[in-house]
Amino acid sequence: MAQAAPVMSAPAPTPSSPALIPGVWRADQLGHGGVAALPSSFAQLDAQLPGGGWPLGMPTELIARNPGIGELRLVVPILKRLTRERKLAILLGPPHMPYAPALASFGIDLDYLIVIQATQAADRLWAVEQVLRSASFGTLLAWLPQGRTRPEHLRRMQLAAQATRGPVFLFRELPAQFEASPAPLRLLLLPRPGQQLSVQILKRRGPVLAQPLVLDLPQPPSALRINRTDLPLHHSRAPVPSPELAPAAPPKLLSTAHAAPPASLIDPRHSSLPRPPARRH
Amino acid sequence: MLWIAVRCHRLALDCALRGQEDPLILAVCNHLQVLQASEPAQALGIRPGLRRASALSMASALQIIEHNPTLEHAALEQIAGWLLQFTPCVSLHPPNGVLIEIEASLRLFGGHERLLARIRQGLDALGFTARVATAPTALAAWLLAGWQDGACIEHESLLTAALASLPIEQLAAAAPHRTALAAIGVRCFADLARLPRAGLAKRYGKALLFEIDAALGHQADPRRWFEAPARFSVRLELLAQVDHAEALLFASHRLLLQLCGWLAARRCATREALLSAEHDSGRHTCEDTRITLRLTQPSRDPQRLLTVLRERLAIVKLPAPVHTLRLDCTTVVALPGTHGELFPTQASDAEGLSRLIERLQSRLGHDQVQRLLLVADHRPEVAYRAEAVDYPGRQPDTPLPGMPRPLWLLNEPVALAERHHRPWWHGPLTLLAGPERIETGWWDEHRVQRDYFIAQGESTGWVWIYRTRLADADSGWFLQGVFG
Repeated sequence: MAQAAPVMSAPAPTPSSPALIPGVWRADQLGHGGVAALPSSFAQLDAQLPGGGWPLGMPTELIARNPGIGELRLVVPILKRLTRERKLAILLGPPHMPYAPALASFGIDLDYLIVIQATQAADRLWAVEQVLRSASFGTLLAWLPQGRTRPEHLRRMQLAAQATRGPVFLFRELPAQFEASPAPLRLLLLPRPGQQLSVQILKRRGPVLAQPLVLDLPQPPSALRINRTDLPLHHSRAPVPSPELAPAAPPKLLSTAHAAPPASLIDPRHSSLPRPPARRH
Repeated sequence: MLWIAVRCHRLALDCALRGQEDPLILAVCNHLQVLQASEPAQALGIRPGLRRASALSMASALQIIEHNPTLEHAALEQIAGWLLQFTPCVSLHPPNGVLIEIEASLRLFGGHERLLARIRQGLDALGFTARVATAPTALAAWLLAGWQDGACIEHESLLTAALASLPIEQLAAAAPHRTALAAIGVRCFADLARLPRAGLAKRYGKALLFEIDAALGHQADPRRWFEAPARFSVRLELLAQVDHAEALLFASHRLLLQLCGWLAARRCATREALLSAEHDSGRHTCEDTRITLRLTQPSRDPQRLLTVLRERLAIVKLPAPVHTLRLDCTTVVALPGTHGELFPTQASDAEGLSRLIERLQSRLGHDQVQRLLLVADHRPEVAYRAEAVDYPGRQPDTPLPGMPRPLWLLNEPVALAERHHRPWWHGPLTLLAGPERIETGWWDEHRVQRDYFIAQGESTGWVWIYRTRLADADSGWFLQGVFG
């Protein structure tokens, strides 16, 4: 963003500058006024989002290649907060079953969570619109069918979302990043090793942010702490000589390999895996 | 006392036509002559009293249905049952009238004008045409309804004047003596009331004298109150065979309104109603199509039931044409009236939500709107249950095992290939933690003996995989969850 730099370093607004007039927003500033938002509990992300968090009453598009890269953990804090406030979270058309024990372990109150299954694309789009129109929810997470979602559907969803009082997340697949969308906030999520998620802001009410944000995902609270190591990504080229990892023998040997009861949850051999030099991201 | 007379002057016709959206050239006949004719038929010159054969010769497209007093009486009882929501004092006046005493209900329903408008509107929505009149005595209301639709006499002192010019044809007891009365110059009610009473009774029978006295309120006129049936089960025969489920909406809407009236009369609400479509018994006998209307919260709001019905009808496929609809109310729950609210409250929010859930359930299926329940079990696929959202169970109090679990669970574990002695899923997987041994469930079919690992691939996030512990047919690596 070579052009952005001089704008950013513009002199402080004089009293007559439009920045001091309420209701006037300059394109080089992040729009703060008038956007109701709930903090996402990721400080880095909140700093870059207009209103300082997930916007209310308008859809937020989260674009990710496949489920499981951390997109759900990005919204876990808001789910936890809203369900604790006894507001209803609706998961519409999830690609897999949201696993109740894991949700509960993140502190989400399952009594305020509804899962709506809609396998047919037309049904799912219809259901999203119905939910938005009713406006009787705390937050909506909807997985849109890629290929069947047309701009007019998104426009209708955006209009319907205006009457709602909670954040609305629309999960879309990777090709959607190249399509036009009326959603005022669009984020591209890319996987990162080591329990991180790269978030690129494709569209927001504010200047373009060239650099993707790297967020630390919340860890499942449990007795087990998995070291957030910078994992050997290309480690596979050198096979690990661990018996635990190498059931090379025919299946009958498997049973013998596991005959001993598991001593501890974390096998000490894993933590002593050969590590390449630290690769900080 | 203030009575409203509801006089269904074309009850036989309405019974046939109320399931029908489009106007038809239709006449109701007994074996000799036309009794009632629909508007399109009247436009062709078919009038009540015309001989059956003449009517057929005037309009070849004329559809004739037989006069069926049993059906009409059933319809009259349905009207009475619906009117019970306004007052408990409802009395049948066969063959085609219902009398209701409403003095005590006026304030609740916002006055006479509003109540009358509501009754008219409601009857119209049910598919019945009626003339109504209000008077301090039941019989006066009845006579006025036949003469001047909408007439209203609020005080007894005005009765004599109001009835004075009523034609004597309206009086049931005067009908056999019409020519005799006309011959002596008696044309209206006032003429009749002026005649010497003893002579009147002697010449034309005591019934006529009683009718005059009862109409003027000089004579007690006890009525038998109608009681609503304890169960709601109403049939509606369709005049034409219906092929498409959506075309049933019009007729079933009328049944729903009737149901809601019945529920309102009993201060009750329903959670479930059953709409059955009876098919034409042609060559094959065909089971009735049953459409269950289920609400998450008991209600007697017709709009709410209608929304559910509309979604259900949109997905129902009829195996054969339908000739009759039947609506049964399967569950009845007591529900007192609601208070009007100026501002939205938590209760109205909850109502909005239950409406939403009903709407979704009716299109997507009852079990597709789910809530999640924890189950105290170590097997991952048994450790939760997805139940329909109105399932009453509670979350267990037992604490969960404090192990990390993936946010996404695959419906079926995916068998993973093994390359270079490593599980492979979009590339090689590196094991991060494990094994967590789960070996349980010997008491049912889902016995598991697995070692679970958390793994990471190059392009995937964390995944949850397991290896079957004992060698059997399907041993190997499986992917069961994604950490999301």
